[in-house]
Amino acid sequence: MTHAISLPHPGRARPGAYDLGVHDIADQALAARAARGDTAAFEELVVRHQDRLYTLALRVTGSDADARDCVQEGLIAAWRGMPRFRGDAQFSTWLHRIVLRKAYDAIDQRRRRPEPVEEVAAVAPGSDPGIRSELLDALAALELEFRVVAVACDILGMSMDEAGALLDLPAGTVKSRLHRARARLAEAIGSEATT
Amino acid sequence: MSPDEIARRLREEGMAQAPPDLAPEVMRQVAREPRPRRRSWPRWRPVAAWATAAAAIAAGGFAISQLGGGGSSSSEANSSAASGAAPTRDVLGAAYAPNALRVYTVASRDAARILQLAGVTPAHGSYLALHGKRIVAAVAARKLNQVAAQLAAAERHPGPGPKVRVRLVPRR
Repeated sequence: MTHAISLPHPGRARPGAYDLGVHDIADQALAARAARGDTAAFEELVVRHQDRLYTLALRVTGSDADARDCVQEGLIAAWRGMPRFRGDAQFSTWLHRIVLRKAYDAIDQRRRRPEPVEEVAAVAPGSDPGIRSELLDALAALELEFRVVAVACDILGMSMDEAGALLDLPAGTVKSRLHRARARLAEAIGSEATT
Repeated sequence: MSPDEIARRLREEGMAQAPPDLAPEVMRQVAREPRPRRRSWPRWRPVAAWATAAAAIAAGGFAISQLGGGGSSSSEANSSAASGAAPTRDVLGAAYAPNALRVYTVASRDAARILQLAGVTPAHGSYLALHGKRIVAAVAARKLNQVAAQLAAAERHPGPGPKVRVRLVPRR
């Protein structure tokens, strides 16, 4: 649960006040603190968003190693760019865009210099790591423009508008691509099931 | 499988957990980074914007005053009167360079010679009687470029004797 309250200034707050409050503070307030060089605020943001960022990078690149690099580089880039975050967009969207750009770069680099791609190892929390999901295999084989929409909307649970902001697409385009992505996944799984 | 079923399964199966050492590793790197600083530029941006606008207005005003004869520029940079800027057309359609209409500081003998050749006669007395003063010479628009070029040349290579300032205006 988040509250839009301001974070006590480390230099002026009573001892412990800052640490007690940091988990309850909204992203925007934490981002404002991080922009002023507050590493504790930034760490809270990293912890909050790391799973979603990692999922985004993993499902887009299809590689565990690439995903890890993308998130790491993306978060460092975000830290460097914190003063430029103006707060007129959602912080999480801004962060996801940075990591997504890194994921696109990783895919481009792989296309230019083909290397054997490490198999996707990460699975849903609580599921058997030995079982690979045929659906996730089908997702990994989907064209990038459809895959990224399915990841944003269905896996990360973004609204059409949020996904549009992430991908620089109108909500209508997101909707139609999502529809086609689901249809292609259904078709892929259906054909696998029948073979 | 229906699209809704696909969406549900993606939601359930798609999320992954970040490696446990990811956040500590990121924060280790962050600790090595210099602290991000807000640039002081944004604080000055409004002032800078106003200053830029004021400078632009001042420059525009200066340029207009030069064209209209308010100044007395005699710099070498402006001396190429008949070339450079896009030509202006007067109401009769004659074209001349806008910067031809500036003020020229030339020897009064040169001024007399050039303006007489152009068919311009002084309203009161001779040009030689106007030493140190400014003459407003109304020249036919079709001759403006030619007269301006001659005045500019005379300004670049001033003859002996007292000087006079000549401002050209187009005559219909």
